[in-house]
Amino acid sequence: MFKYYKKYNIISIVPLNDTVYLYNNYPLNVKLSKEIISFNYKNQSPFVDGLLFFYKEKQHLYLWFAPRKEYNTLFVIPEAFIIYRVLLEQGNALYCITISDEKKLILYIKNGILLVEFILSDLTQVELLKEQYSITDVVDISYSEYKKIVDIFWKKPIYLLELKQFINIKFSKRNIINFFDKYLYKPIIFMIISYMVINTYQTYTMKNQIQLLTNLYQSFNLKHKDLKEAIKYHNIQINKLNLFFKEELQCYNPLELLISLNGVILKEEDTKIISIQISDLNIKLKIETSENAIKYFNRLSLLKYIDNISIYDTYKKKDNKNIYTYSIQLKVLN
Amino acid sequence: MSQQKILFLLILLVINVNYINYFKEDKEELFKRMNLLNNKIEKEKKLDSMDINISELNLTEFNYFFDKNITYSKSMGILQEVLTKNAKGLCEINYIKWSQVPLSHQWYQKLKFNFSVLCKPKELLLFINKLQKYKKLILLKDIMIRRKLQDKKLQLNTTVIGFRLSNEKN
Repeated sequence: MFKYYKKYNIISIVPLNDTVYLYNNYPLNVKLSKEIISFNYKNQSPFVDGLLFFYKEKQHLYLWFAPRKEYNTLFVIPEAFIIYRVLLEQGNALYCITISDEKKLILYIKNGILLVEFILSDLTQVELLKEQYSITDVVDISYSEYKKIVDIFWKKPIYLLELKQFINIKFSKRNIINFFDKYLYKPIIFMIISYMVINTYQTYTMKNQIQLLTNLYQSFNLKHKDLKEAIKYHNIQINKLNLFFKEELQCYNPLELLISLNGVILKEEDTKIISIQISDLNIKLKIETSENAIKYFNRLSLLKYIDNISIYDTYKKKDNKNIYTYSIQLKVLN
Repeated sequence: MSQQKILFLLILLVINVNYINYFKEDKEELFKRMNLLNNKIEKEKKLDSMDINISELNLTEFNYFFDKNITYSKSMGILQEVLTKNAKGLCEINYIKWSQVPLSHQWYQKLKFNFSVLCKPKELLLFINKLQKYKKLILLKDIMIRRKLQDKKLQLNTTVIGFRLSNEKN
């Protein structure tokens, strides 16, 4: 992974040999900006006009001084920080890391804080250090293990989140113009030209397609001209007939009405129909009978097309026969 | 960054803006046109596959109307003849009265008679049945059937309506 970061100028690493470490702490609730840190600690640098890298965590401030050098990457990280972050997971100890045949890197982590970090060529000084800090745990790390530590760092994305403190962007008019010239100028020109070309090509193909479709439609249209006119005429005629049926034929077949009304009276009964008047959905039926009116009322009610029925009037003749007039309302036809 | 580069970029931007404002076609509109044409073509293809015979589209329902080439009066005469012919042997016609010429602007005209016949119940039904089976549409409206007590016959008063295709172009 790291080789890609390096290839695309995303990350630079400041080697162990180039840095000098300093630990400091500061009270909580104090906000330290890059400028304040630089103002306060740059004078402690052993390098003239050197670089200062720092990492803040709670009230701990880790500082690395390095000689001046131009880094054109997005992040610049001291190598010691990478080793510290990985060893932090292994616990508190004095770590002796072999970085070459003659040199050892000494890292002392106590309570999760990197207190000391420097390179030794005289190994007897390790004993002095142990006595000075009363250290009992000393962990020796070989050269191959040291290389593995660096690999572990790049494999764990969680470590990459911590890199934001090592961002290396300097906003200045010149930088922006250079950035624009180097990275944006050509892509912008390419995008503008491609946009116009692609758009013109798309429009051209779409217009061609429309022309083809129009020709096809016109050929179909010509072929179906007579048929379409016939269908149009047919639909007009259908509409006309539908209107006609709605206006003129919304009535019952009188023959069926007469037969079913006549069917209400049985042959053996002494009952006669005197008159039937059918007008739209209203019927007036007058019968002469010696039976009671409800009998025929019930029979008429059973007819399927009847919506409402009432006995309009009743009177008795001299021969004791009754004349009933029924007013019948027919159901509206759908 | 050289001034030539900036100038070139500015010219390109001006060209691009002008391209967008004056030359760029509305693609959405083009898509809409394409969709519309595709839909129309689909319909045409469907029509093509249906294999419709134009002669099948002629409606036979208009045959139930009196022909528009025969005048209103002649049509009324034909309908009256139908009534009298069908009544012959079944019913006794009391009266036939022509209604006023309708002032209709519709595509059909009503041929209307006030009509009254006297006949026995069975014959009355036969007579109505015959009228309904006639090749042209005949409607009976406002029907009044009354029993004549003295000769056991029924008197039917009704409005007979036939329909004639009008010359009006509606």
